[in-house]
Order: sequence, then C-alpha cells, then structure tokens
Amino acid sequence: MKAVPDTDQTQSNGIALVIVGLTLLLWEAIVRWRAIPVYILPAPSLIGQTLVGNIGLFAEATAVTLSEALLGLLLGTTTGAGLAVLLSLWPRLERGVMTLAILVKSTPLVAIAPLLTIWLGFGMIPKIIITALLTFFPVLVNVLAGLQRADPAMLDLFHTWHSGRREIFRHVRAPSALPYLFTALKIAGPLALIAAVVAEWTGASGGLGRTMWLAYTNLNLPYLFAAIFILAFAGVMVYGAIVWLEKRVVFWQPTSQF
Amino acid sequence: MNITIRGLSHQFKVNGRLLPVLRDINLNIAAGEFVALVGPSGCGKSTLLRILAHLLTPTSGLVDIGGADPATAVAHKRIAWMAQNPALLPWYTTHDNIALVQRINGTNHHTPADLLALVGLSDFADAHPFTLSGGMQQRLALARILAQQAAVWLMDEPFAALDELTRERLTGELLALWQQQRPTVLWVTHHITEAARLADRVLVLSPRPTAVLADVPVSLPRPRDETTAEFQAVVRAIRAALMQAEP
Ligand SMILES: Nc1ncnc2c1ncn2[C@@H]1O[C@H](COP(=O)(O)OP(=O)(O)OP(=O)(O)O)[C@@H](O)[C@H]1O
Ligand SMILES: [Mg+2]
Repeated sequence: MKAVPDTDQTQSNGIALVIVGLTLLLWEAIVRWRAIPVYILPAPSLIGQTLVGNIGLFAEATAVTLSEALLGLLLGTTTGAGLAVLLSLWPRLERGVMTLAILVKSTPLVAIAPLLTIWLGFGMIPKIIITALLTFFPVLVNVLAGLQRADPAMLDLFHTWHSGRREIFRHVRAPSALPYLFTALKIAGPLALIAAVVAEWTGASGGLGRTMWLAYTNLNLPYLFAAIFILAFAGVMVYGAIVWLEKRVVFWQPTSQF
Repeated sequence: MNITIRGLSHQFKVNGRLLPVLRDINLNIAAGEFVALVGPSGCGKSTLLRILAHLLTPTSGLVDIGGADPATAVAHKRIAWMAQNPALLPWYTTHDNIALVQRINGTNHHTPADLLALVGLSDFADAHPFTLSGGMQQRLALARILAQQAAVWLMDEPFAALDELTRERLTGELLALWQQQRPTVLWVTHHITEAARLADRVLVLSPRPTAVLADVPVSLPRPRDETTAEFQAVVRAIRAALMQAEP
C-alpha cells in the first residue's frame, strides 16, 4: 500500500535535494560576495572542510549523542507504552498516572538537566534520562489513545466470542495502537536528538552537544555549524528510519511518507 | 435453538432523558427458523439484536436462548454475530482471521482452508482483508460465522453496503450454508424482497417505541421464484404492514 507511487517519491526527494543544494549555493555566494567574516557566518565550503578535516572527532561525538538519543528514546518509548498498556488494562489508574505524567512533562527539563549532571556526572546516563523524560509523554498519550480507540465493531465481535481482556488486548487493542505508536515516534525521534544535545550542554565528556558548546565558547563557528549540519542530517535519518519501519509494521494502513 | 422473548423493553438514557426504544416485545422463534426483521430506520432492530448477543442489557423483560439467558448463551458460544461492518482484523491474513475465531471458540470441525473454499475464497488464504473487495470481505465474515458452529446467527444488515447483484449472490450462498448447518437466524434488513426471499417468517416492527406490528409467514419452497403470484402476495403483505408502520 503506497499513498504515493515510487516515481513520485524519488521525484519529490529530488526536489528537496535541489532546494537544499540551491540554499547552500546561495549561502556560499552571499558569504563570498559580502565578504562576511568567519566568526559571523562561515561559508558552507569551509564548514564542509572543517567536517572532513575532523571527521574522526565528529564521528566519535555523533556516536555518543546518537547512542544517548536512541537509548533515551528506547527507554522513554518502553516506559510510555508500558504505562499506556497498564492504564488500558486498569482504567482506574488513569487519572492518577496521567496527572503525574503531565506534571513530569510540564517540569522544565532544561532546569532538571544540570541537576542530573551534578548528581550523575558527565557520562551518558543523565542524558539518557533527560531524553527518556522528554519522549515518554507523546508515546504514552498516543498509545493510550490507540488502545482505547479500537474499532467498536471489533470489540462487539470479540464480546460475542466471549473473549477475555487479554485476548482482546492481544488481537484488537495492541495492533490498533501500533499506528498511534508510530505517530508518537515521529514526534519523539527528532525530539530525542534535541534532548540529548541540550542535556550535553549542561556538562558532558563527549557528544555533539559538547562539541557545539566548546565551539561556541571559542567562537569557532565552522565547528559549530558542522555539528549543526550533522544533527540536522541525523534528525532526517532517524525520522526516515521510523517511517521505513512504520511502513513495514503497520502494513495494513495506507501511510503517507511523512 | 429456540428463542423466547417476553415483555422485553429497553430505553436509552440520552442527555439525561429516557428514550424508550423497545416496548413490551413478545416473540417465539423456533429452532432452525430463519426470521427476517424489517422496520423503519431507528426503530430498534439493532438494539434488539444487541440484547440477544449480550452486548446490551435490557431495561426489563426476559430473553431465553435455548434455555439460557444471553450471557450464558454467549459464554456457551451459541451466538454468532455479523453486522454491516465485517470487523475483519486487517493485521491478520484471511486464513488467520478464521483460525483465530476457531481457536477462541474451540471449534475445529473444518479447517480454515475448507471454510474459505465454502465461501469461494480459496485463492485468497494469504491475502489480508484490506486487499479484498467489499463482497469478498463479507464472504470472509460469513466463513468466520460458519467456523463458529453456533446455533444462533444474529445478522444485522450484513450485506447492506454491497451492490444489488453481489448482495443477491451472497444471500443465495448464505441460504445454502444455512440449510447445511440449520442455525436459528435473525436477519435484519431493509429490503422487502430480500426478506421474502430468505425468511420463514418476516417480523414487521413499528416505529419507536417498537412493538411487533405484523408477523408474516412465508411458506414457499426454496429457492423462491420472485415472479410467482404467491411471492408477490407475501411482498405486498410485508409492504402493507410497513406502510402502517411509517406515519
Ligand atoms: N447506545 C445508544 N445510546 C443512546 N441511544 C441509542 C443507542 N443506540 C441506539 N440508540 C437509539 O435507539 C434507537 C434505535 O436504534 P437502533 O440502532 O436499534 O435502530 P435500528 O432499527 O437498527 O435502525 P437502522 O435501521 O437505521 O439501523 C435510535 O433512536 C437510536 O438513536
Ligand atoms: Mg441498525
């Protein structure tokens, strides 16, 4: 099932690439033409050189940040989905748990991050926790909605079969929630990267956030931009991976490519 | 399996006000009988079927399905349910949709492949329901009903969304399958001729609050020839009762 035929898809991907390319070209031209200093706005070519020249460093930093983001996303997703399952099986818990979840969600995590760094150090653990805290909420809300909004006609049918809650959960509610899970992941995936980076700004021994922070304090803009480029690219890749997975897992639903 | 309904009434609470839907319904349906229910839209046909399937508890009255109340009848897997929405599980293949109900119901008189063959879906065992046409989806729902080996089939306008030709073909196939298993059937429909073609008896319901307006027996041999005078007489009788129902 494809909402958009393959040729259209490659075509629109091509259009996106062309637009990005043109933007970079324009950027390059303006920087050269107006002779904008490097500490204000480096040219894309310089950023590219910086990236290639320090590829080892950047690769290492990317690996750290990506690990934090993905582990945090995994933790946040399992917690969110697990809570959703719990609430769908024992609806009486819903009010209490949701109030708590909203409380956690509303707490400014930018303010929590330094605390976690003080308590847990400069390693990956506090970043994973922050990422999990930021990503569990969209997963919880969406998966719970999916579990609760199973097709009433299917539920009727299972009731006439005298099915128990577990059977209904396994064969109706859980599959019904899968599209909702992916909707949540499309929000939470890119968010996880941002969460990891922001957490790193509060003190880290590695990662793209730390690279950015160091570059910023030294006014090393090519370095800073190189890190931003990597993050943008990583965000697109993470999103793409989620969409790819969605098409295979939720095969019964016509999904758009976004 | 006999169905007996005594003094059945039901009212819904809508925005704090009571909406009487069924009022003092009394019915006897013999085992193996094919009964069609017709009546104005919104009169409570689905409500009656939902009460029989234990999807809804009536306000008052007695429902007896083969000596048990609806809850027990459902627990003993005596009820097979089919509505306009076939409610197939899109995440399972055609084969697995059948296998699942067999597993849940503990029935294995037929293999899923046999049942798919009975409804003409042999070539689609590995297909997913969303790749089937509307008619094929209803066939699959029919196969699922057969898989249950239930004594009572409650069918709420199962083919209403299909085109006329597919509908006629499917009701014909249904009739043949019914003659093999001989369950008691309650069949809700808006088609007068369909009711006359299929049923042993046609019950015409009044508008809300619903009572049984007319009980039209159809004692014609099957398959029925719609062009005969006897058939037309039955159709006229149902139509006359329905005219009485519509204000
Ligand atoms: N869950 C409900 N809550 C409140 N009112 C309901 C509910 N279900 C049905 N009703 C009302 O009960 C009445 C009968 O509904 P029902 O669905 O049984 O009619 P029906 O005869 O099956 O109609 P149709 O031929 O259009 O399918 C309608 O007025 C409807 O609005
Ligand atoms: Mg109805």
